[in-house]
Amino acid sequence: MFVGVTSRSIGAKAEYYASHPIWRFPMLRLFSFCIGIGLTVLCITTPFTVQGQLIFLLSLWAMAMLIRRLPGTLPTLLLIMLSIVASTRYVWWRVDSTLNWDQPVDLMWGLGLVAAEIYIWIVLVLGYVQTAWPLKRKPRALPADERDWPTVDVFIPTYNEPLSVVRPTVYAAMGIDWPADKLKIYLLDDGRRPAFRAFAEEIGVAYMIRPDNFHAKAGNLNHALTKTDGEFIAIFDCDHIPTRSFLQVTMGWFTNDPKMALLQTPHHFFSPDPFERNLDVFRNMPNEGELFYGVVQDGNDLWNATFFCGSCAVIKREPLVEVGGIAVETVTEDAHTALKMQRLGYKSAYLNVPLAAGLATESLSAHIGQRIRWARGMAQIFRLDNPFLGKGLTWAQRACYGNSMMHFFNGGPRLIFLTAPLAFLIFHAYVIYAPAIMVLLFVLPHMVHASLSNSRIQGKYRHSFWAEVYETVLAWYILRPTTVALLAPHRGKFNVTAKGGLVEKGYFDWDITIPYVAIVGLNLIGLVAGAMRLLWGPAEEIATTWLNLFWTFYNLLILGAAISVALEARQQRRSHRVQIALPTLLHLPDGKLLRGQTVDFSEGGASLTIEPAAMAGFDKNLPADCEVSVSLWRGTDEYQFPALISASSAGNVRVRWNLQNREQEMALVQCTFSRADAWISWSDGRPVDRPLTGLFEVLLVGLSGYRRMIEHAPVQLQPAIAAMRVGTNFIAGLLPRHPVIHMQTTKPR
Amino acid sequence: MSMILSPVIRPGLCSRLVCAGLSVSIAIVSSLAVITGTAHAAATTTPLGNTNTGPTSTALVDSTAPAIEKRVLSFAKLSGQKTIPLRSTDGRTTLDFGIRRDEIVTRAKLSLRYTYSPALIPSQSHIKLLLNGETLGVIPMTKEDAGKKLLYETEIDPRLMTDFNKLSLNFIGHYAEQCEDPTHSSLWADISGNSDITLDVRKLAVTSDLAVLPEPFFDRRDAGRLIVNFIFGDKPRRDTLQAAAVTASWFGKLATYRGVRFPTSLNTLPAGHAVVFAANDDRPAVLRDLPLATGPGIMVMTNPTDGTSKLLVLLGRNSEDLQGAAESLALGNIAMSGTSVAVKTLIRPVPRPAYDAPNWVRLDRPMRFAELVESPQTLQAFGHEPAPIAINLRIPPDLFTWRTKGIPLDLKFRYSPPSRSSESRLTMRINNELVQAFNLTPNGQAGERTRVRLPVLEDGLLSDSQSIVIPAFKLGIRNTLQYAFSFTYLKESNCRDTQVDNITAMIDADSRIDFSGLPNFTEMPNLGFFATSGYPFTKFADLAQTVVVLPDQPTVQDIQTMLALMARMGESTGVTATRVRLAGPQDDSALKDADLLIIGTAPQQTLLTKWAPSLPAGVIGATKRVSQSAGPMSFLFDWFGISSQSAAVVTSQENLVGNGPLAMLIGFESPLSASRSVVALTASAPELMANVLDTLDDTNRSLSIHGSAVYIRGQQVDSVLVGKIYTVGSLPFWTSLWYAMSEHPILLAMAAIVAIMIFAFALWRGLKVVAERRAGGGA
Repeated sequence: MFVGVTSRSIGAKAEYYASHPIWRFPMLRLFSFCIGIGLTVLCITTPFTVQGQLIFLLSLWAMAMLIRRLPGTLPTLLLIMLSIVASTRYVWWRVDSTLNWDQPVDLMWGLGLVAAEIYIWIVLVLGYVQTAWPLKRKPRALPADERDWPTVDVFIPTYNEPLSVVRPTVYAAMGIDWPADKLKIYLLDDGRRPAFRAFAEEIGVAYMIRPDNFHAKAGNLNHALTKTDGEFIAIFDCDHIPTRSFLQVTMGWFTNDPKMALLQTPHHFFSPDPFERNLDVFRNMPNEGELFYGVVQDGNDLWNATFFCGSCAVIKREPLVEVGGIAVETVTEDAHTALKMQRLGYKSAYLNVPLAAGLATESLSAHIGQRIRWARGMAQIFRLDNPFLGKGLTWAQRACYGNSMMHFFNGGPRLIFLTAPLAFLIFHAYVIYAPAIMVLLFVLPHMVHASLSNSRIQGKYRHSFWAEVYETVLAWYILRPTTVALLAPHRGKFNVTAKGGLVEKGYFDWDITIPYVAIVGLNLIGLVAGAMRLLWGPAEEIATTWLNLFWTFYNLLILGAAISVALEARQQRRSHRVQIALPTLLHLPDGKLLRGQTVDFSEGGASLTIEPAAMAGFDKNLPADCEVSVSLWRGTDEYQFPALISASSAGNVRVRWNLQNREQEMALVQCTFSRADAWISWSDGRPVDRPLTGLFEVLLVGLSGYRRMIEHAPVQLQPAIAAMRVGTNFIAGLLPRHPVIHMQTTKPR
Repeated sequence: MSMILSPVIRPGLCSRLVCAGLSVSIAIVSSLAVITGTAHAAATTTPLGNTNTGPTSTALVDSTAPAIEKRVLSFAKLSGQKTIPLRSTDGRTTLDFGIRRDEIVTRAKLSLRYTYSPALIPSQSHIKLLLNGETLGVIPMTKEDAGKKLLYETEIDPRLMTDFNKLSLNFIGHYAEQCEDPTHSSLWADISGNSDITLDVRKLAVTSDLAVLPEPFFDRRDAGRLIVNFIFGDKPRRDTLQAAAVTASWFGKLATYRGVRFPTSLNTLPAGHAVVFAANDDRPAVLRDLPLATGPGIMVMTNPTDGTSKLLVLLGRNSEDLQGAAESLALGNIAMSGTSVAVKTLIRPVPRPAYDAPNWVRLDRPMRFAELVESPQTLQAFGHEPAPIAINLRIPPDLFTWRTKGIPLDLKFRYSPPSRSSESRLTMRINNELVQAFNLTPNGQAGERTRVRLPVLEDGLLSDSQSIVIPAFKLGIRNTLQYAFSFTYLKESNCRDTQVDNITAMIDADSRIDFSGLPNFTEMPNLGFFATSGYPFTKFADLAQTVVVLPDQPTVQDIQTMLALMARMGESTGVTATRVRLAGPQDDSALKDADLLIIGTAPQQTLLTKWAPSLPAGVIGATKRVSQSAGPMSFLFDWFGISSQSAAVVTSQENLVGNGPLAMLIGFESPLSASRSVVALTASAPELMANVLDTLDDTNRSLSIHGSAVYIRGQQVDSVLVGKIYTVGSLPFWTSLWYAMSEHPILLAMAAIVAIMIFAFALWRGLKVVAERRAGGGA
């Protein structure tokens, strides 16, 4: 308590000093910047002995640990500056004193690693520009008079998704609160399927097809653009179910600002992505996309650099037409379109409120396929319409767009980091030409400060070290498309992300993991080579060998985590259960009413708990397939949905919807997925990020990856594995036993 | 730049004069072409017709032979080893010794103390002795004497002796009739270092001829310390001594490793070779009869005291002429012949730039190995295990090597390919410490090249001022690079192992070592620099920035000491100190802006008395003042950057009075000008100053010299670093900042905090405005 109070008062004092009137004198500011630049350059470039560097890093680290306790954005900026100093000092040191210009082979390895590290440094610094100050924009009020509200066209493009996926989206779109005469919904079917046409006609939304399929989704939207006339266009992927408040929350920013051309909201997923499902961490920690939608886009918004993400966004027709519609030159038409509009001086905005939800990609291969497309598209933009070049952008917009694209070039650097220690262990090349202890003393502040400040900025949206896993999984697969896109930007095709499918049976996706198994193999060779160096190598190299071995161990565990994701867990349910508590009223056939709430619900059914107060009237042994109805509320309106009991136990009832018509289907979507507050409290109750815990989690997942790989090894290898297991168990049995509990290698919960 | 001297000795007078049986006349030669713009000197001297030309070679002149001197040359001294090992079936060793040209050997005797292996077959094994290729004798190896300490003595015919003599010991050893392994361990014979050659030597009188200069005053055949008498008038003037200083440095340059002493006499003429300084108005009484000079001149004559040794007389009307004569002697003796020359025109060399001493490595460009050795032959080696190829490197002590990764050395070498790549190596050492070893492979005969970096000291200064003077491992001031080739003997199997010792290896003369680009910067005082290389005075090889301060009335000891120190400078640089200046203690204007070398005992040397309060130590007669340095400060204190001179703060001073002998070297910053150094050599009594010279000459004891005050009591040498530390030289801007800050990580961490606060505060203010504008008007 005491600490809390002091840190708050220190934080307030810091802000007081930062905004002290004395800073109004321009000369003082100029003077202080000169001093600051001089001191920074000195701090970055001054070489130290081992103990000097140790003292220096400990001082900075202690300072960071103090700053970390202070609340507010000023301490965040202090941490960012510290991290930039520490990392720049590291890069300076690497370039200045760790390249061996005398040995061409060492130099080649070393330059490769330095290039990768400089890339990391650029992405880190630009990332700080992007995320230093998430804007946290609030919704803005619409004009009081509904007649002043603009007309909106809702586009729902689809190509090959099943109708069951598209149906809730259309229902939800129809339920959006907006004057009926100013809202038109278009189902844009590039698959030209009669069932879709029939469905659209039945429920009364516009159905649109086009003669060709050029430029895939972008072409589809552009075609619709020519046939419609709404002032604004809201775009939803066919699996993104909007909430009813979508337009009322977002449109206020357009009516108040004529230069506003785009407003993006986050993509929210109510089904687990492959990482969450295969690692079994769904809703326990932020998923891969949350960093982007939680921090990056919100941070971009400060610099007027939020870009379009293809769905869940509103675009003003006029500027969109001005840039020639949705961009078709690249496969990430969304970001490119936003870039084009911003070059013309239009504004974009980001509203970090989940106002639509959808399905995540269902398998790792599909997920990777999607990321390959993004990576290729971003690389194409980087090549064809580089944000650092051209006119119309502020430097911060260039940094934000640039970093969003450069981020996808991490495949090469990542692979370099995964293999760099092997250069020494196997080939005896001094990649970093410095004593092991110095490497440690320089690299630690670089990593620790980056970790501390990123954990503070991103902690709510990405737990520490998980980026390592995500990036490692993708590294191999995005390396080639990004490189090709840079060299020949017009090659490559659009691939549609498959959604709504099933994983019938858990399996291990060996095809995906082959590159990583190969790298693991190399690293294992490196371990053996390192062990031999320890035993028979020269004594003065022992520290270096340990350092490289340690690095290899770390790489192996990260690779293990990446491999772990490839074990596809079963996904049997046709419709995803969403665990949200909604008030319900269960109507029993005997006329009894039981008040309760949902445990989860899906398009197929729901699971309800009965309030203890109502338990008296509850017959535990409700017969299966007993016809009941369940009341749900949309705002203040009550809707009753017929359902069949599928199972019941004490206080718990599982029902299957038994909907009779389209109206009921529509009402169900509008009472559940499309509720205004459906996704607001999604991330409540998650553990907070702690960098070391994150590291530990990732390492445990890495260990489990190897266990999974062995369990799913090809049949031919099983006897050998069994023998190995007996052997290791035997050896382990000889070890002295501790009464304490051994470290568990189970999945983190 | 050029100094025109008027004619020296009046011809008329000269022709009438007969001196020591030689008549001298001097003609005047018109001035020669003036060469300008060259860095080095061109001195023109004029050879004169010699009326009494004797035989140019050694000749007996006088029948009254001088006394015979007995001289013992021990093998230990000649070889540098306590025992000379002879190994394998054909072990050889060679000892070199020279005989001075002005000496003749009348009798020589070899005493060989040796032991040999009992395994040797007597009928086949023996040691053959050769002198200059002639067999002196054969030592048989009998069964009975095997393993015993034996003495073999033989008279050597003196006629076999030449100027440079090679005594070869050739061991022919066999232990088996057949299937013999030529490198078998039982094949050995050891020659004791106590073996010696005893010579009876008689002095020869040689003709007086300038053409043979520097002989007979310096004879390179003589490996012993060079001793030359310097003769002055009754009260030599300071300018005369300055000319003597130039001459002394010339002798030092010639003598190289031998060491030099200049026993000085005022107005008397002892026996032995001597250099006489005779200005018309300041000449020793013995040369009173010499005709007056009309300008600078050099002449050589027989020493009347003993009739055999020679006098090298520097003549002049005044001290200034003597200076000209001394410079001319040092710079241009190639053209001299006859008994005397007059210096007509002297073109003084342009002042030399800093760090261009030919004995030091160059700092302006990479050096080829060819420049570092006397002849490319020394870079070759023959045999399976040849003696290491040695390359000497003298490095300016103030080279700032902080944060260099070592001195780059592009090494190229060639060798006869070994038939198998096993254990054949080239080992590279610096100062006997391993730097790197290379395997010699069968396919490397075409020559190999590699880049090596010579390790340097971590703290950036070539010599650690606290503990060691010549660092054990790292590059120091005087270094020897050694390249040891070793080739394995190929052992096929028994009886198939005829070895032919035809292996040749060489270090390419085109290998390069690069000291360029390093700044010159060091912390002073450091008497270790003075002891090993004469720094800071030798920074300018001609000592242009050096002022030697002698007492107003210098004693013979003061002069001797000064001359010996000048010889050390010449030895260090390889250049005659033509621009050294002498000054008196009162000569304030001359003492400014110069590095001062103060010689003399207080209170005669008034500067020492005058500056005593600021000196770290001192000795005035029987009163000695010593200072102790403070212990190391707490490390935190130093890291905060509050004090950077903790180690040198004087914490205690005591004044002692005693009659014990004490000699002292003191180094400190000149009170007259900043960044200028003073080295003072003083003692409680004048004759003790020789003690310092002996310490400097002693390779072992001189290692103990460092810091700012060195106390020498007999054999005991103690050094301390007390008093103010100052720096000499300059660093590039950033390097100086980094060097200063690298000691203070906490200070720098604070700087980092300040900097990040400045930027974070500014960002916070700026971003707040941006955010308010972007999200402004929000609900």
